[in-house]
Amino acid sequence: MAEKRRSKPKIVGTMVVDGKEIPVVEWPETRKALRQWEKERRKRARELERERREIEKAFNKVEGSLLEELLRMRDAMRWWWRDDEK
Amino acid sequence: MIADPRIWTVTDASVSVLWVKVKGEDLLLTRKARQLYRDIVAGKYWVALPFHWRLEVAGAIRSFVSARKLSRYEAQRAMRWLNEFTRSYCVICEPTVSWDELISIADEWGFHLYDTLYLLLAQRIDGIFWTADLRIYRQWHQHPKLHGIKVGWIGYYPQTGIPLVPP
Repeated sequence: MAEKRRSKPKIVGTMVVDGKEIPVVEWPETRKALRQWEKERRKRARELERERREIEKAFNKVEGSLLEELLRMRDAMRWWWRDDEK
Repeated sequence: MIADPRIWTVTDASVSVLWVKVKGEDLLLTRKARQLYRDIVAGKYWVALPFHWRLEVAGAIRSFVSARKLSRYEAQRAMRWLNEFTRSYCVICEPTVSWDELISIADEWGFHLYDTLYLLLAQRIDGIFWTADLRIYRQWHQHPKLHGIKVGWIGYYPQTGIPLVPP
């Protein structure tokens, strides 16, 4: 479902298109929109970092190395045919 | 038009797993992988990942679950986080050449298909491929004809020069 608008756009005038008078809304202020977007981006980055820290905490309780596990799996994929040759 | 100062990079799954775990891992590699992670978040790089990157990371996490080291909930949470991270900072790419060509190239280079996908992506985007997998790095190091593809061992991050002797 589409997100409900918090505020209506400001109507600054009207124009005629195909004989019909339609409202003209205010041109968005680019600097303000960019600031808002930056603020949202920083907020998302903070949330992502907070989530990463919590995941790291849980992973640090695990014995062993995740990197070694990944490399072990890769090596198994790389060299499976050698086992067949034995 | 303002030129974007960012450069393209490809991060190996072996580097990405170091973003969520410190204990039990090599401290130097973890420190450098975190440095790369912070630089990505700070907007220094555009990141391209091959389509099997998620499969590799998920496979390693899943093996922790099957070994009863990690709960399924934590594994799913970690994958959700990685997916969110890729949505925010990365682009997931399909193979850059046809599968016929891919198999020929892998055969010619002597690399596994998985590794070839990383190298081809780095070549295509003209970016640096960061890896914590010494086997890939050493194999690439032994092939001077492949040195046109930029590969960096994460332990050397952010240095990208080719050492005389690989680590």
